[in-house]
Amino acid sequence: MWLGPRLVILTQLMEDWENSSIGWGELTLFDLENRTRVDFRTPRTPNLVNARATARAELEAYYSDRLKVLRQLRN
Amino acid sequence: MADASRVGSSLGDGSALRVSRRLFIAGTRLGFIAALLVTAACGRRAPPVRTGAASDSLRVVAAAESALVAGASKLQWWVDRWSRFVPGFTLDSLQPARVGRLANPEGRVTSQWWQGELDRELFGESSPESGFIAHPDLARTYGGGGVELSPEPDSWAVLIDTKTDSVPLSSDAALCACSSGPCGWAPAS
Repeated sequence: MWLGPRLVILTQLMEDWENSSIGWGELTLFDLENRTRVDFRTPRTPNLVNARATARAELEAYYSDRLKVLRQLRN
Repeated sequence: MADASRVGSSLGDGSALRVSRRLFIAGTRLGFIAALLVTAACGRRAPPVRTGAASDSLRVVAAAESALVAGASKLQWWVDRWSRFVPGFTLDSLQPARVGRLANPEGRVTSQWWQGELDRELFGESSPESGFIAHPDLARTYGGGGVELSPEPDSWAVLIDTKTDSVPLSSDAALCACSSGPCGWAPAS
């Protein structure tokens, strides 16, 4: 996600090494102009399974929308 | 919209962010001791990030926090997601975990990721000034006109520099995954 011409955010899910049901989210802000990065972390959640499922649903919707466009362009 | 305004407003007074900044300063002062105590998840363990002087780190974090405040409305979907799993979660809940400077390109783009230039642009988010494409998750299989996600969604976000066909940024998970075997790109020489 772009917050500006040279500011981009990447997110990810992180999983506790010793307990796979626990995890947290990370949001990294990259400043391409100043060439810096800052990683922010959410509080931990014991509900990583559902957080993962939600992320999956969001990504599936993301790709589904783009596949529709791709098919339209190719037809 | 109400939620987005609330987030922006709650961040606007900066109190929570100042608190987190103080905590970050304390963490920085602890230096390597603190770093050694941090347990990252995974074979997804994050690579070490070089930290500069405390004042420089503080300035970078402050700028990043300001950027998050300014972009709060764009981040609302992500806040909404995490508020479902962390009661009361807002952008104020975020804690700075690492700060560093970008190094040289981490890898090279390979054609395995896409079936052509058009696909590459469609499945990513192009930067406003072009030249870069951010991809939310490359841990997927693409073929036959469809996309199949991996069991670990939201785990391999990358940024493609289209001018050099390189990968200047990727998530820590990607670095972990790639360090142990082939996964679509080779380290830059």
